[in-house]
Amino acid sequence: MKFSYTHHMPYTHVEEAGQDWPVANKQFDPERGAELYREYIDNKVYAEEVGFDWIGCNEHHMSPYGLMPNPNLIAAAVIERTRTAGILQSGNIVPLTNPIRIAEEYAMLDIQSGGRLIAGFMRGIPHEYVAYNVAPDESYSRMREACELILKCWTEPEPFGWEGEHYRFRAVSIWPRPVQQPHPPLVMSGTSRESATLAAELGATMGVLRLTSFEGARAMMDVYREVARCNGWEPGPDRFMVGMGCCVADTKQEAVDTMKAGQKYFFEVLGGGIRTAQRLVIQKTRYFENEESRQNFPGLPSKVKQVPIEERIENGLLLCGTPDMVIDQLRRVKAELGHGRMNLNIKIGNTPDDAVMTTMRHLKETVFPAVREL
Amino acid sequence: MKFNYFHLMPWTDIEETDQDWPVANKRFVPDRATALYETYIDTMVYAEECGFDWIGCNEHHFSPYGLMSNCNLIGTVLIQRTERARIAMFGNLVPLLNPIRVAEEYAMLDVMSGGRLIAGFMRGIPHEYVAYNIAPSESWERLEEASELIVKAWTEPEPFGWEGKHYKYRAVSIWPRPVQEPHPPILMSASSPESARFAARHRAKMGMVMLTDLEAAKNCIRIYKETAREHGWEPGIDDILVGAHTCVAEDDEAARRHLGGGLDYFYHVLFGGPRTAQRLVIQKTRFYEDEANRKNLGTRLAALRQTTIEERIDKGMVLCGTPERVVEQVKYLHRELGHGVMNINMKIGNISNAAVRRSMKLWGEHVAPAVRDL
Repeated sequence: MKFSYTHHMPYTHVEEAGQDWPVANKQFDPERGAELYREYIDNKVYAEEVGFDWIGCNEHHMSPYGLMPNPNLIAAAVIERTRTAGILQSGNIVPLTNPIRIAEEYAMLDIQSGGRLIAGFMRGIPHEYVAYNVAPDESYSRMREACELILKCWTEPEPFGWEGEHYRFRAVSIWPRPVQQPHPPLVMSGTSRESATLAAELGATMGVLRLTSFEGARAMMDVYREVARCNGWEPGPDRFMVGMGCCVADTKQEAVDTMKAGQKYFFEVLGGGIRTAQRLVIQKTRYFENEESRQNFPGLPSKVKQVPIEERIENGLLLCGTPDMVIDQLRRVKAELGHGRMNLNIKIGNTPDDAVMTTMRHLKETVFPAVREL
Repeated sequence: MKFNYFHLMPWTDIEETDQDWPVANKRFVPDRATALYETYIDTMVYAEECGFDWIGCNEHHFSPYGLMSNCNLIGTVLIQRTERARIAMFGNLVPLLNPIRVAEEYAMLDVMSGGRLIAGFMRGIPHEYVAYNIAPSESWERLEEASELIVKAWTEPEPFGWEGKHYKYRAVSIWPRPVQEPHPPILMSASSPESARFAARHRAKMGMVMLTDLEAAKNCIRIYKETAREHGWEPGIDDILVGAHTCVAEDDEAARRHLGGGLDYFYHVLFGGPRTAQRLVIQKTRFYEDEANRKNLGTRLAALRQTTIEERIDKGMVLCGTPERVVEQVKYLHRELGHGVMNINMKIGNISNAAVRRSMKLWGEHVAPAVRDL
């Protein structure tokens, strides 16, 4: 099993729950922000030493949920301080940005890191479309066209023109271009039928970025496999990455308490403004192509929040407990899904830094050595 | 006097002159680029040790001229490895980008650096508009509206909406927001009377990154100061930045040889593609508001290409020679122009990185101490 370290860099000095979106940034204290950036980047750099194979960043806007409006800036800093870990960009939100710009920035990261980039092509969560004023209805058609254009930028040695539905460029030849051949490996979200299909078509590693049920994840993995087979290839376990919250402590109680406090902050404070905005987009636009996808969307507030932590641990949807317990939990997820990659989120809500470090230390010393061979 | 270390990060492994634009990136060799990035970044970090007050990055596209398509990525890297130096972004090319994104990325840099950002709001050189498919004739009004929007995004504590001519957003409140109050200092290009007026109106620092004509520079500075007064503020000497290509060596002959060769490469190889594209944009669009400006640029470029290194030195357009000579040259320019910041570009064309480093060392040991108190 391979492991990826995800950290969305939340701002944890806001107390008020259930805010409107965008969240007023008068609540952001830049001095504290500077400390958080230092702490979080140190965490990410330390992840390499812990034994994580990939270190992940992602893109969010206009709320304390995450302080990486352009995650590529953080990646560049992490690259500078690491040597071997893959750099997993599970943003950029492709339909919201000029695809040429994404191709260029990813190429810069790939060059800077000597070929360690894993390029995420994400569609984003609905409200980010409000932030950048892009019609959510267009998300899939933009996504498809932009992915194609980015790949073309990376692989076409001669200048080319582009006359698409959403994007037009007279002549393109990006400098630098990436070092990995034919292009950096891709990661895409696979939380709906449409996204799993697109991921398979492009040969991307499919991420179930937040696991909400084994059954749901398996269904999407099956969609991916089917599309891959139709295209004449068989995906190995490495093509599937499953994301879970993770907290390891000396005692079960300590881990559960830490996770509970972090989740509470995550859902009530960090998720507050975003939920407001999401409801808007989900109700009023064709962001989802069909009702099934809308209902399955893991961001739907009804989906996650109400289930008590103990029950989610019981159901195998959270990694939480002593090192031995977490080893068993990982074995169980592996047995259920047969995937080859885990994406662990340890900084949940306002989980304090020492608890994050405790989890990372247990992973390094006990958990990873026991589950590497899974 | 303060000093900015300016670096374009050029690709110097091609020889063909006068290429089309965009330059085909098959000429770019990714395997060699990782080491090149490392060298360039090390060089920029070293600038702090050599007594430079600012370190400057800038944005260019689709040619070997510069390998920083998004210079903010290099900015975060420098922040990780420096303590005091200001991080001066001579990009971003504001009219080509989503202004919200620029505000967000600059805020990240400012917070991560603890308030060391100098935020360039650049209009860009004409052909970059072709790269990103933005109408060059809209460049001024986009710059105007975007500048206003970015400052608003930095300073407005409550979410706000924006209904402009070029940009529309339903609700904006960026996270993070910058640490510097009321906002990071802004730097704008002022190499023409119209841009000098524009910079003054926006209370920005004025930059003439590459000096080409002393009288024209004096005129721009005069217009800048006059316009500033008309708008109720008095620029300090720190608000005026003037730049020159620079080479310091143990003897005049060596300095002249290095810089002469580098300039030759700069104008004939690196500038080949952009020149083709610029002609196109300059001829066919309203990038320049009046005929005089358009002609001025054409003549300037043609003249620059022909000027010999000796002529350049005589006219005070470059800083070149032994430390003693360069001290005199800096003093001369300061007497003539009265500026407070010098922009020092030492990696000119394909000057060897060893010569660049030597030049920096001599600068730090002999030149900077002698001119710091000007």
